[in-house]
Amino acid sequence: MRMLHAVTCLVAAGTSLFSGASLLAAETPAVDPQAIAALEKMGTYLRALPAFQVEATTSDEDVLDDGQKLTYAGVTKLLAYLPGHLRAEVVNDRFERMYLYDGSNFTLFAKRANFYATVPATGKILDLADKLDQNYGLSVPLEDLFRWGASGWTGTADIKAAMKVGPGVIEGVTCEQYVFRQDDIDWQIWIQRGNYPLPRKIVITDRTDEARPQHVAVYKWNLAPSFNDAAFKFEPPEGALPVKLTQAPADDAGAQ
Amino acid sequence: MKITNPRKAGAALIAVLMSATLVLDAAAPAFAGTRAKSRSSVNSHRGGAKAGNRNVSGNRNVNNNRNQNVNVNRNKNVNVNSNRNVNVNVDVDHHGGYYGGGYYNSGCCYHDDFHPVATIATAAVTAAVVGSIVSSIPSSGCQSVIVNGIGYQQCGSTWYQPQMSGSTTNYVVVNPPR
Repeated sequence: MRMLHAVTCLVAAGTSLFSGASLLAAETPAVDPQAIAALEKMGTYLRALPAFQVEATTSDEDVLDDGQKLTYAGVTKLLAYLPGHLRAEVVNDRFERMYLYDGSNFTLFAKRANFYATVPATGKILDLADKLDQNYGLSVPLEDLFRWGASGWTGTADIKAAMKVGPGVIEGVTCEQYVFRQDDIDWQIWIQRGNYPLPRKIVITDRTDEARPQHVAVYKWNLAPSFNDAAFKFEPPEGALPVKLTQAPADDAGAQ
Repeated sequence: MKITNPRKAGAALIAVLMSATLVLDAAAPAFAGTRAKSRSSVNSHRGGAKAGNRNVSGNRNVNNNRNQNVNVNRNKNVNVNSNRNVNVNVDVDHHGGYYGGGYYNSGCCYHDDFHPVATIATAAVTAAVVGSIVSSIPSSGCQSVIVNGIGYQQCGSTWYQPQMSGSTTNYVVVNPPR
């Protein structure tokens, strides 16, 4: 009899736990501290890298006025030598750009048009990112890889919901998948398991348009790249025209 | 001009319309403007819906304005392409020697960077007004000139100053710099 009572108690406790959990899920989206910790760990790891090379295979979407979506693919190849050297090449179905930053000058080169624009810039790659954003409406390619874990990064404060999904394999690498919700976007990230918590894949879903355009990037990493100073300096090819870099319209995606 | 590709014919029509600064949507093919783009960063605000599209469902005026919006955007898209056409010959550049070549696409389909639009662009030149911004210049009869470190395209008596703006390139019609 005593045992039966114990079982009843257990069942009752289980029921109340369950209803408590679903109530919580319905009312306040939970921010799983594990997911936030994983993001912070990844950020800390990224910020400790002295140099890295990453190739991102990307997919982006435009939403036409009638709601139809167009997908376009691209590849971004980026070499970063911290704190203040960057070389990135963005090639997609829309445009082809090269970004070069050597700590004193930034050059944007439009390869198909054979135009380039050089502006003076100093500081870390993030300083460059801020300057380009404010003055030209331009984003540094794969900007998140520099923002995560940087001093002053407050990204976790924007997260309204976070969940650890479970393991997932990206290009043969076992990762842990997490999902996050912010005011305007939902995003998923696959972080490599183990001692090298690198982002291996990201999916960003925009919720400001009902068609929910999505960005997908799969990253391949090289943490021991070889390069020399020339990799970050721009030498205009023959016939290249020096042009002005101007402020982009507000709805420009910023040469992502 | 003989145009066998229907898409080119459409592009030609659009450019001619634009050169006369008309915003008609007569026999337009079914391309619409872009109202939103995917975001590539979780730490940046770029991308997403354009301002004004966020409350589409509550706004009765959206439908009324639609034809005009569609048309303006379409013109822009098409001309961005023709702009790049002009400078096709640069695809082989791999300066710096860091990355090898070989993967650069040759363009196709919706955003074809490489179909010739010479006749169209000529039509645009005749309407060039100093200070105006155009997305394309003639594909022949122009030369690149650098004056005081600034690049220009001189097409006959018309001078263009190219500029890069976000993810696009365009041209400002300017007075002759010399």
